[in-house]
Amino acid sequence: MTKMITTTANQVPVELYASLKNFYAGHIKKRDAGFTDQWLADFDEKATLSTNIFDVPVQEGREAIGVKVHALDNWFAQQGIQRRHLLGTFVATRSGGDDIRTRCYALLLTTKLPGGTTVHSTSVASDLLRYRCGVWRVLSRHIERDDLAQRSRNFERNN
Amino acid sequence: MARESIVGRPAGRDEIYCSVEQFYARQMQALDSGDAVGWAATFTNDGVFVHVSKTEIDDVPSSIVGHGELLAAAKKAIAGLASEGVTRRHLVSTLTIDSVDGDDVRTHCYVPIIDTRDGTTALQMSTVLQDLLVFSTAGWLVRERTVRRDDLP
Repeated sequence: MTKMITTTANQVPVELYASLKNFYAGHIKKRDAGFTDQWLADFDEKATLSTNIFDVPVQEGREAIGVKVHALDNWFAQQGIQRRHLLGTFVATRSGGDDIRTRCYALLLTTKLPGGTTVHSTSVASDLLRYRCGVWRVLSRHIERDDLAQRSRNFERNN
Repeated sequence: MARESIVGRPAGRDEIYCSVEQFYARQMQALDSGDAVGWAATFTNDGVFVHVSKTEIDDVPSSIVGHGELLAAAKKAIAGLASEGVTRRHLVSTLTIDSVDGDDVRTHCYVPIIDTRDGTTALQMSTVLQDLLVFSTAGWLVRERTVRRDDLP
């Protein structure tokens, strides 16, 4: 049977939805502003990050995530590239207990002067979140960048 | 996949806004992930999809009427993108709820479409979407959709 795409019992209520969207806007602005450590603080200490962006696909723990993310952010900073992550097409659902699962698109715009702004990439980001002590914490995150996924598929097909 | 239980129609304007925004997110993610059946199921049986901006490139009729045509059109679009190796993302934004009349809601939003092709991502087109949504036992459904491309007359 087809899964209905509709207003369902596990859809989050309005206050929770607004809280989540506010969290993500603040979260991603920290990253774009270069406040990497503040961005990392939104992760649980034992959080995992799986992604096709890094050479090692899974980072376990906030410290390990920080090593990779700092290296990436430093590279963009050294290149003089300003990043803007536009999050959209955002879905939030309850995931048992108080945990929340989210799935959204991230459009990354990059600006380097002189020159201009270009579309860098799109990604799909899926999180598991928990609300603790008045703040949201990311327990796990999976990010798949569309261009890298496509190149990987093409490479496998051609080899 | 089991059908999820349905809650009642959102009562207030804010509740409607949040549930409609999430409805669009699920609908677009279904289409982008290649789920033609799931996408077509977000329309009423007599749902209408109108392309105001006709394009030879898209090779689609200006009006698609009814579940069968919607499903066929979605399958064709998904197959076309797959054959070209394109990953498409519909980024729903700037949503407004323009009117609420009982279970009928009129909406308006921007939907830029971003394609990744041969490992390169680019803005493919900017579109404006206007819907008449109805709330049914299946939740929100699209009864009428009008899509206008900014780059076409």
